[in-house]
Amino acid sequence: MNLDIPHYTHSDIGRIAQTFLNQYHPTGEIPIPIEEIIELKMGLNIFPFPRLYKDHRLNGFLSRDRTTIYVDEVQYNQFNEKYRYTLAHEVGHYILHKMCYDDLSLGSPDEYAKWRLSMPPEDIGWFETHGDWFAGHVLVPTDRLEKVCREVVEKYQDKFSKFEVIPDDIWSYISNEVATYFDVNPPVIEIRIKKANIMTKVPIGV
Amino acid sequence: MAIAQTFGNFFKQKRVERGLTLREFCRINEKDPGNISKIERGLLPPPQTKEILIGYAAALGIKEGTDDWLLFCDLAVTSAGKIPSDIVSNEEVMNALPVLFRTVRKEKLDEKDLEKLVKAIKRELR
Repeated sequence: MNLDIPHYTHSDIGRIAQTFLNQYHPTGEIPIPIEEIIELKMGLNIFPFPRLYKDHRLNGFLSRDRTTIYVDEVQYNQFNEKYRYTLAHEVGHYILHKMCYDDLSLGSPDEYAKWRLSMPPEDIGWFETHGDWFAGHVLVPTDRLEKVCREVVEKYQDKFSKFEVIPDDIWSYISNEVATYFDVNPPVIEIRIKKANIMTKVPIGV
Repeated sequence: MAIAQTFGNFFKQKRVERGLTLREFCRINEKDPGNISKIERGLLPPPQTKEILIGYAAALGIKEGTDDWLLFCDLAVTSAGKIPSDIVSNEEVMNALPVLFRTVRKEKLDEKDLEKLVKAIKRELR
């Protein structure tokens, strides 16, 4: 049994994420309270799963009945930014891939294993990419990202104006500070900055 | 509002009414999130000693002698008999399995990996 991969573009997922935020977090305040949204507004369970990463190399997963998000216990207790990203990624599956969960009819763990091993890795890759895009858009909404980037660039404008040439990787440094506003890890911001084309919208050293 | 029919449902409903995530509730009250989650989902029986019940009730803002307190105690008694046996059913396992996931490693997923994962999930359902 193959799962039909829905064809979403990055922009499609941006719009879906915005609708999600309008529904569950209309104030748009950052950092986005993803854990509160999931538990208190959507009514899903979050369960800290012991050794999920250590033994199975998994950060988390959404249960087949879509009631519970299982997250690696170490992440749950110690790595807040990573934990928040995992939650947002799994909610992405909840929102974007409902049909896949509903369509899957498997009767036993053996059938499940057979099905899962027959799934082409590149198909799984697409589903996971959707989850990553959704997580990025939800935790780092474009309008907020642009606003924070402007603030941070403004703060360091004096320093930047002393550079003869603005180094290409300046946004990597800026991402470190911007990430603290959103409670995410800096690479998430770097990717969002590139995808949202912030470099052209927020000039540096001008 | 839906009527809470089990101890676990009612526990979760009261926690959510207080605006507390599981993690926050457990941090404030020094409880284990794994165990509380299992109680809420009906995978562990409600405590049967009054002292522990009083402790949970206090954490949930339920005052002794109120209607909520009586319901809390009644559900603790009635839900105790409805807890599933130690053997996890096929349906429970199938509902809990992951559908979409990617392991963080280079090697391809194999049968043994999945067997190990199913076993771990079964363990966490009790």
